[in-house]
Amino acid sequence: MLTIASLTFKEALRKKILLAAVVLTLLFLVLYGTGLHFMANDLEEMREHQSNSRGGGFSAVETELMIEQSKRMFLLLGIYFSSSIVSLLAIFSSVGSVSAEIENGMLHAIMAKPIRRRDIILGKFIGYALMLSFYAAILFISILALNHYIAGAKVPREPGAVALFILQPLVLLAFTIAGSTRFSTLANGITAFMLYTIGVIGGMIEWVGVTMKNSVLSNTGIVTSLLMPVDSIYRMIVGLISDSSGNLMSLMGVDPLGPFGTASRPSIAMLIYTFIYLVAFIAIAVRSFSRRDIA
Amino acid sequence: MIIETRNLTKIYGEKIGCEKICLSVDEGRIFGFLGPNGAGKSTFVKMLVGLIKPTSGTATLLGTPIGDVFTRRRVGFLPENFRYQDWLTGRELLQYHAALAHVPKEMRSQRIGEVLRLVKLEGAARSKIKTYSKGMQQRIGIAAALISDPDLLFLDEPTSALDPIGRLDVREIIAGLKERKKTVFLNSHLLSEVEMTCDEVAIIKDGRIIESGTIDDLLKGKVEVEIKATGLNGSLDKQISQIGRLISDDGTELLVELEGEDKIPILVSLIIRNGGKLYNLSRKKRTLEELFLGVIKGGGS
Repeated sequence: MLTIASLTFKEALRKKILLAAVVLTLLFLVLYGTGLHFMANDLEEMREHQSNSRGGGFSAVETELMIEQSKRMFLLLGIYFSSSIVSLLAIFSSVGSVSAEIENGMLHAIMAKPIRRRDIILGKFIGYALMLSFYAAILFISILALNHYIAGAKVPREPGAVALFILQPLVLLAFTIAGSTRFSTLANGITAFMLYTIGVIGGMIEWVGVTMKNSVLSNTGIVTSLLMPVDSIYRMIVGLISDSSGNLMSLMGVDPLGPFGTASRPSIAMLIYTFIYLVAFIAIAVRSFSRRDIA
Repeated sequence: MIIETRNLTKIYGEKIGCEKICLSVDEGRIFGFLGPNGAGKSTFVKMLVGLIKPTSGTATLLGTPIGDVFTRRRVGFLPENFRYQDWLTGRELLQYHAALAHVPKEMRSQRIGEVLRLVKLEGAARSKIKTYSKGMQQRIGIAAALISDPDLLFLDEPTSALDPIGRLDVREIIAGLKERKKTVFLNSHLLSEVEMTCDEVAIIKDGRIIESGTIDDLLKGKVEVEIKATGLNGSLDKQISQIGRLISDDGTELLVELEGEDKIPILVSLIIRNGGKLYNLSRKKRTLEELFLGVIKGGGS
């Protein structure tokens, strides 16, 4: 199993999957940092303008609240886009992890070796999971660091948020590898991407449902979260960050990010369900691959 | 028995992959498995190495039922549609296969050197596999199959991408394995290769074995002889019909099919007794290709 995991990790490095992701991520971070820089300048000007003006306009408290809120919004936007990037990397790096190797015959010689089929699946999962966890942690910390050093934002010190951020690609990885044991690479890629998108849209529908107190919309969102819980994990991260910042507007029940924020925070039960979902799809992958003929 | 199958069958929906295959291969034998495309050769081998699960029937490899992971330490396999991690170097690929095959760490370097020498790829060991020619890739595949020094080796079309020198090398590798009492199961389209290399063969058609045995036994049987003689009289034809049949006769050159090689001296005495002068008699050797084409076109026995 560790031999397969090590080869899978090496493959991600040697085939430049991680390198391509890192280069494009650097580009994203540069763009994001540039936006942060100009936003920070504008907010500083707003603060100076308020302190110089006498009477009229916003009060000092209102201005500080708006500045704080803008910084928060930019932080959460960074986390939202980073979640999307790391999720797509999880899908596209592992979409052909089994199917492509069966299609091109690469698995034939490996499977005749003294190795159990379950060890091949677990090895692949561990290899990709190591790569994605490493990447996700660095990306999450980079977003926090940019917000702290460029915008002077108070960044949360929440290990739970980092762990949840890493959990997102792992859930998608388990789902995609399971699909790869049964479907062709193309069909699996389309399925995983569509389900991920449905999960994201479902999360927004749930936000609208909760905000408008429409139970049909909220229930629709809950069902999509059960089908693909990645969006719920993102909303847990948003909830944790809002809590730890003691953000006034969040505490007052105002969601600064609209449908990208969290109107109804996912429960601990949802977190437990997500872990069960992850383990279940690894089990499905093992079972499906163990029963499959490698023709 | 190193390989033993009983009624091994694989059915894909309504399509027969292999049906009721019964085979036994003894230790140290080189066994050739022949058949036209789609006959079921690769399906059979894939069942034995654990890639495909049989629909019915049983089989053992090295005395244990197929699918036993531990036994696979003693089995090597070169797949037909081979493809290896082309971003690895040849040496890295062999290190990977050595680890998968549980070759002890302290022996890996030595064993990798041995198999690289065997397949004549020492000079290319540090090059990436994507730079290898098709023939070199086939050689590194053979090396990967041999890395654990297996007692039983399955080779599915091992010479398909090789030039004549490469084929000779593979024949030498197989001969070396035979000397060391290793058993080789060879799937091949190249009948001359099989005839030169194998002790026993089986011919499969439409998923069923239609002929099997040692090469010597299969190529025995009816014998054809070409005769150059003069002064033969008309009664010879009738006498030949008692020991075989006259295929062609242009007066001085005859082609005769005899029921066995023991009939050759009888034929010679018949010619002499009939006043003929015998100038030449040569036996036409039956080839595996003739046997193969005969059973495949004729529907087999």
